[in-house]
Amino acid sequence: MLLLLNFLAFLAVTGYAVYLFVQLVYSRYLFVKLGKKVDFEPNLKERINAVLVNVFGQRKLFKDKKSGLMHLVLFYGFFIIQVGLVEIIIKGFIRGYEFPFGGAYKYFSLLQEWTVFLMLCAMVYAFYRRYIEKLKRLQLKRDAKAAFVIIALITLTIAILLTLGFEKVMLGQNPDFSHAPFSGVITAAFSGIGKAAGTALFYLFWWLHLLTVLSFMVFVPQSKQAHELFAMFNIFFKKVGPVGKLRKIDFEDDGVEEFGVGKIENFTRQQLIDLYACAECGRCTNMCPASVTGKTLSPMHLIVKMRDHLTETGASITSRSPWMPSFVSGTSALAPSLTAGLAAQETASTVEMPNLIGDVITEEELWACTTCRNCEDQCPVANEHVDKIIDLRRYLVMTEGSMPNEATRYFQNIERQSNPWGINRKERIKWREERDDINVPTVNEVKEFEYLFWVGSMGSFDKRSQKIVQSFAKIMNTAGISFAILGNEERNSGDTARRMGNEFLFQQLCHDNIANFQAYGVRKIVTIDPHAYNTFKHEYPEFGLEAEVYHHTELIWKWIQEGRIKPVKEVNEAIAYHDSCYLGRYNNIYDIPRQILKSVPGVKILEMERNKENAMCCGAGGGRMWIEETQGKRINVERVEQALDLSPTMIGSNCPYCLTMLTDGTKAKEAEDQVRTRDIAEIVESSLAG
Amino acid sequence: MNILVLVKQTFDTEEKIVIQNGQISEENVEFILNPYDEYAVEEAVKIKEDSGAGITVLTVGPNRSESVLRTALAMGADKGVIVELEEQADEYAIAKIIKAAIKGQEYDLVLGGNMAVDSGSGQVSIRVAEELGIPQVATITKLSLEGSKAIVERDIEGDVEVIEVNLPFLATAQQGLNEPRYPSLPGIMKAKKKPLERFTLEDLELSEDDLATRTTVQDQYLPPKKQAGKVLEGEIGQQVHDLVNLLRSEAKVV
Amino acid sequence: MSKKVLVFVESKDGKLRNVSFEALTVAKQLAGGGEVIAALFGTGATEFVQEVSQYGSNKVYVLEDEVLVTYTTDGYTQALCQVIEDVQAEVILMGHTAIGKDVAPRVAARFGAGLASDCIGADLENGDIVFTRPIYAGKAFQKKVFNQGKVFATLRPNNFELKENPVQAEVVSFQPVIKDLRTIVKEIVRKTTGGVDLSEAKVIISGGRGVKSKDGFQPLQELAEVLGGAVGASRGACDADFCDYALQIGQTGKVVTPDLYIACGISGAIQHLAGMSNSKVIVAINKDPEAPIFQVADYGIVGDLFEVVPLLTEEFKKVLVLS
Ligand SMILES: Cc1cc2nc3c(=O)[nH]c(=O)nc-3n(C[C@H](O)[C@H](O)[C@H](O)COP(=O)(O)OP(=O)(O)OC[C@H]3O[C@@H](n4cnc5c(N)ncnc54)[C@H](O)[C@@H]3O)c2cc1C
Ligand SMILES: Cc1cc2nc3c(=O)[nH]c(=O)nc-3n(C[C@H](O)[C@H](O)[C@H](O)COP(=O)(O)OP(=O)(O)OC[C@H]3O[C@@H](n4cnc5c(N)ncnc54)[C@H](O)[C@@H]3O)c2cc1C
Ligand code: SF4
Ligand code: SF4
Repeated sequence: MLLLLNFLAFLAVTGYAVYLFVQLVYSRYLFVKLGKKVDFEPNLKERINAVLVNVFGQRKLFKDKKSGLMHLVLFYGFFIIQVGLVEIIIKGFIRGYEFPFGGAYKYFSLLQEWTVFLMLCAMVYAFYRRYIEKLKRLQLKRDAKAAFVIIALITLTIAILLTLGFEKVMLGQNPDFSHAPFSGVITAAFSGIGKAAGTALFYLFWWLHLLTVLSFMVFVPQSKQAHELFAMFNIFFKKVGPVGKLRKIDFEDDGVEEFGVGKIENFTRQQLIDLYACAECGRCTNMCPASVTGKTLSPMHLIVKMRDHLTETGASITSRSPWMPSFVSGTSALAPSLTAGLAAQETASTVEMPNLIGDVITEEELWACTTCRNCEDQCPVANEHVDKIIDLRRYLVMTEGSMPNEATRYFQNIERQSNPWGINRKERIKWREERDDINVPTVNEVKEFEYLFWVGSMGSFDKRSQKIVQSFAKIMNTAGISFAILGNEERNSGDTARRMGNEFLFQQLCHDNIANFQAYGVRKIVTIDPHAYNTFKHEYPEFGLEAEVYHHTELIWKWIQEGRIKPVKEVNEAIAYHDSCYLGRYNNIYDIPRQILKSVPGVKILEMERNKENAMCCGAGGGRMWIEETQGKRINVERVEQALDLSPTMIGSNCPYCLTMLTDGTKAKEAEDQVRTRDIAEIVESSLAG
Repeated sequence: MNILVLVKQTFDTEEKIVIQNGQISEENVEFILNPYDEYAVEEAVKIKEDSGAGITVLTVGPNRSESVLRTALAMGADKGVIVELEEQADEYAIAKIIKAAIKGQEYDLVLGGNMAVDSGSGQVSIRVAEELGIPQVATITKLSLEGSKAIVERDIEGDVEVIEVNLPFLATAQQGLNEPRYPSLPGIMKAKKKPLERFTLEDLELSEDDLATRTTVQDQYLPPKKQAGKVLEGEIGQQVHDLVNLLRSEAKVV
Repeated sequence: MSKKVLVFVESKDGKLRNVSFEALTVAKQLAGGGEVIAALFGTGATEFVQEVSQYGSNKVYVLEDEVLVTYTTDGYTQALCQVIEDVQAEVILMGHTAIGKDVAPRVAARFGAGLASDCIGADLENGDIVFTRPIYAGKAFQKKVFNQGKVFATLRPNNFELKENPVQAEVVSFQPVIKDLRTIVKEIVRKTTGGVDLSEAKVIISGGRGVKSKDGFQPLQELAEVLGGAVGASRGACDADFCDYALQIGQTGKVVTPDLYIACGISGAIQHLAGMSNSKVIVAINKDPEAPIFQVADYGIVGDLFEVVPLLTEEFKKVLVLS
């Protein structure tokens, strides 16, 4: 009789929980489906590989080794104890039930016991990291939900051990320390209380364990733990192709009145999965140069705020309640904000939805991003922050025409004179006159050339960057390379315009440039500008460019290896080397510049704490070079301080924008007399035999 | 409320000037909306956004000038008018032409630029005010409308003059009046569909005297080529003395 | 062929403006022996008669009217038109000042006449008056002649050599009829305390990181005062907290186009040049002869700004008092 009652209660509770779970997950599925459909490029191999590496290999998580190990235990533990859970549930109805594994059962039992124990340890450690060690990134978002996760999992693991321990007491069996080392301790300790008491305690903990499991299940979709459900899909459905490549807008389509994203539903579905996949781990914000220097932008909050906004908006559009059961969400313990609580109860039209740009995400946050991709590189669930930020900027710039004044100035200068300062475009070629020991022909002055040397606006007009292109031209002359420049026909690459959200201007420039390349039969392009390099290499092909694209460091290294140039003069400098974002995180080129530096006699390379894929941005990307930085600390000053910690005699870089930022930073620290700033090309040139 | 904005197409301020046969060459030149007129358009659009207004933009000039009307329409103006003019016309004649082109229309406010950055005479708008018989307030840096009157701040050699004036009147825009907007894409696309009226001189009621220019440009020429920067030499006191002399006699800026 | 030339003489802060003397000098030359008449507006105008006659005007019209004490377009237009009618002037000259720019086109339009504005040259060639004026912000020049009607011209200050030519002037006291002023001047805010506004200043003295401290801006301030200019700064100086960010000139600061830009202790980074390279004349003072600012400067002094700037101030004080 009691057993029957127990079974009915189990059915009712479990049935309700499963019902809630399905409803909650289905709601979120519908919310994601509000997004725009995009063509799915199959690329199954690449996708499955990504899932294997990042989900099952947990690769990104190991950027923080301690947290990575903890998460690995929880992740695999979770799968293993699922099996045990089923067995424990059956034990509630069939006394002493064991999976029919025969002789292998004792190993199964041992595995379960250890897994549970390790998970318990992992949770205790998680508690320690969050509340006692107070790891910075975990303090970024503090709410009751994180505590709930920890308490629930600790309760669950303890309940499992207690259930198993009292089962033996109930059955009057002796503890089996060799195969149940942890629950065995409990059996041993309580063996004297008798079978009846043992039975009562068994059921007590059996129910505790069951209710914890079910509450956790209902809780998951409504919290950051939703990443357990969404992360895998997110990684699988992720945009394939070069990282950070932006989506093309089709301007031919006449019907479109809105460019970029002004409403959450105008993101693509694939972008919306990102939002639910976020684990609120704070890794992104922890590395974000904007967050670190006190700007309002925080990539984690960006994602989380948009996620909650999607849930609210989705609830309102689909009239589905995103928070369940209502007796809990009514007290708004689950709902993240007031409007969400309301939205759950009232019907769609009665609640005024906040604006995505302005209320949910401010313009200030959007313009603070340097597009450095440090956040994306960190993210364990492969979220993409940058394409969302740029979609929002696109809306501001193209649909609203609303942007900082400096951005307006920038766009107009590019439109009119094809350079950021608005300097007369006929002065573009002048840089080559400043040094008479270099030979730099234009495409019209030679019959044939192997490389088109894309000088870029910085190299052409900025007195400091001119020195870089002059050095590189000298290196090419020395190596006997046939190359030519476009001279005054060169225009701006459009990269910055694109990253500032002006896709229209970008595409105009892109088409003009490609037409120009084709007219001169360009097959290989080399540039000193990692931004132009990245957009030519990864983004222009979509618009018809067919050419090999090189960054100057790639070719310098090739020519050194081929013996075309030989760095022989000693350059006695201790160089703190700064990786630019667009060569590094966007293109994975970390070793070549270091190899080059190593080949220069006398050079000692100093590695900054944040280097290679963790290198902090100089602060210039994403259009920040052209917009005043007034909030918080200057990013370039922060980066230069990191370099100065190594007491270098020189800071080396591979990008003209970085160089400006680093130079300004050394001036701000009044270190410009002791620490010089140089591009790799300049360092190599100074080492070539006279 | 009806607003008329007078606009002119000019060279981008960064353009190099090339003279061929006494004429300024227009080959390969980037044309823009005269920056001061851009302030005027922006001010009109702001008024429209605040309190509603119909904005007409008008230009007199060769066919290529149409682009500046499109820019103004993309910024938010409602209607464009171009008077096609290829022949000689001085400021006097242009003002007469503008008057003829808007004949029969009533405007509560006329806005123009303080000057065109090319010929830079700073006459046309003020002449138009006289032709229309309305008061003018030149070089304004702030405009607030209060019913049928306006409080206007104008820049007079660095000082600020605060003026009260009744509508209708004409104002010319000075730098600092506002920050002109960047036209949005939907704005640009809508601009393509906005009405644009075209006149030739034959369409307008103009007397022979109206078109008889009062002045003629006899010659245009470039200044003697600026020498590369002079780094002065000698003892510091002497250098300072020389510099002051050069600034007064050669550069004539002090 | 002698002509009757009228010069509108302007006073500011109780002093006649130098450009009016320039206009009188030019008038004498263009009159070709004809009469030169000066017109003085406002109460107390009589006291300037003596000074005006030093520059050769045969007749001085004095309009001692309360209404003309403060400039209004309507008041001055009516008064000027009446004087022109009264003296039958054929050529009318005035300074290309705030008043000249405002009233000259209006008056010329009322007479259906042409106007050559902002002239830097005025010559007689075969009996015709040829005006020279800059176009495209001084990147080119044009010569303008008149076909018919009265000749109006405004002259850019500091471009004509003064020639004294003392005569005994006849004083005509003239009572204009002025009615219906359509604009009311509520207030004139003098910006003398904060100095001249940067974006409109004709002269800018700009300091960079080389200025070293807040106090380092003092000599620049003094030079600016002597030249009636404004003080600006590079971002370097603003960042180092030597001055307010409102003074920042450059790509992400203000864009300025003064006639004279004196860069003191500024290296000349492109982000700075983007805000000032269209200045008419650029002077660089920097102790580093390699500083890129020298490549855009018209005149450069290699030296310590703390030595050079005070000397400059002294030198300008000397010559500006003389003129
Ligand atoms: C083909 C050609 C022939 C010319 N022939 C002569 C000639 O014979 N004699 C002579 O003296 N000059 C001649 N000019 C110059 C011409 O007079 C001036 O360009 C014109 O009068 C405008 O004066 P401005 O540029 O100084 O404008 P400003 O008076 O400085 O302009 C002030 C404001 O008036 C308004 N405005 C000015 N021009 C226009 C316009 N065209 N349409 C609408 N609004 C306007 C704008 O709001 C502007 O900001 C000629 C120019 C051209 C292109
Ligand atoms: C996003 C961004 C936006 C920027 N926007 C702007 C901008 O709007 N405006 C701007 O100006 N900069 C801007 N910059 C900064 C710009 O790159 C330069 O760092 C800055 O202009 C340098 O200022 P400076 O010339 O005063 O300082 P420095 O480059 O340090 O130059 C100081 C100069 O003073 C000279 N000097 C020192 N002592 C003396 C002395 N006693 N006498 C004479 N000379 C002396 C030195 O030789 C040196 O040439 C921007 C930079 C970034 C990254
Ligand atoms: S791209 Fe860089 S600046 Fe932008 S949010 Fe990510 S980490 Fe921050
Ligand atoms: S977006 Fe990624 S890195 Fe950032 S908090 Fe979420 S899961 Fe962590």
